[in-house]
Amino acid sequence: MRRIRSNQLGDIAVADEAVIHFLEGIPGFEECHDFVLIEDEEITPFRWLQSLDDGAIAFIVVDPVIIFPGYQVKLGPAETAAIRLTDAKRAQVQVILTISEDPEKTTANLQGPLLINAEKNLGCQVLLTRSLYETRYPVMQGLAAAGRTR
Amino acid sequence: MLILTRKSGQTIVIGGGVQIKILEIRGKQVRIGIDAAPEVAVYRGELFELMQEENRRAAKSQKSGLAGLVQSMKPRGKKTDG
Repeated sequence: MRRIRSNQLGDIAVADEAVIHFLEGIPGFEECHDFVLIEDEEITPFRWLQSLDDGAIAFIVVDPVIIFPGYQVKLGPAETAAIRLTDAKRAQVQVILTISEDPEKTTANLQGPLLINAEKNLGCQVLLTRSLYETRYPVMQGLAAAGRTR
Repeated sequence: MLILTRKSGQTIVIGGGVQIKILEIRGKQVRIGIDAAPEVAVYRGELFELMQEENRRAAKSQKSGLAGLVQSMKPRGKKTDG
């Protein structure tokens, strides 16, 4: 059982099986190796990726196909090796949001997706070097294009 | 920072597992070859710094800012039991 006092979520207790280990941390937070995905009905379909090393560090993430229906990450040997994935199809993909008080300015980092191997509880952030995906993709526009807005 | 001076054709070995080779020096550009295991990520510095910056911005996100976005989304279909 891991416990952390999250600035955003308060005291949380996490089963060891739910901990996702990022061997290299993530760029900018290289010291944060353990994270957990947390559902929050107030922000569904978005979720929290809470650091278990630092309660102040939490990201809001989403499955990228919700905001960009055709989103695809080509997984080469570098990506699959980093999370010890044997079957590329079984990778879970999440992207990190940068939230603005103005919903039109909230963006998602499609160029740096998080890859998660749920079976081995390993994760990494991949920097797509050959894609045209944006680092600051406007989420509101993406949702509208996906037919998900009222 | 460890600083080394290399000539074209010379190499640097890091940690026993990563090798860097100076392939060619032409004017202001250096062609560098990097030999590392597939799981070792290699990125241009400016791309990595861009990711660091964006992650740091993202870590400052407040849930309150997401409310407007979530409200503008269509409600998900209700799940039925069984």
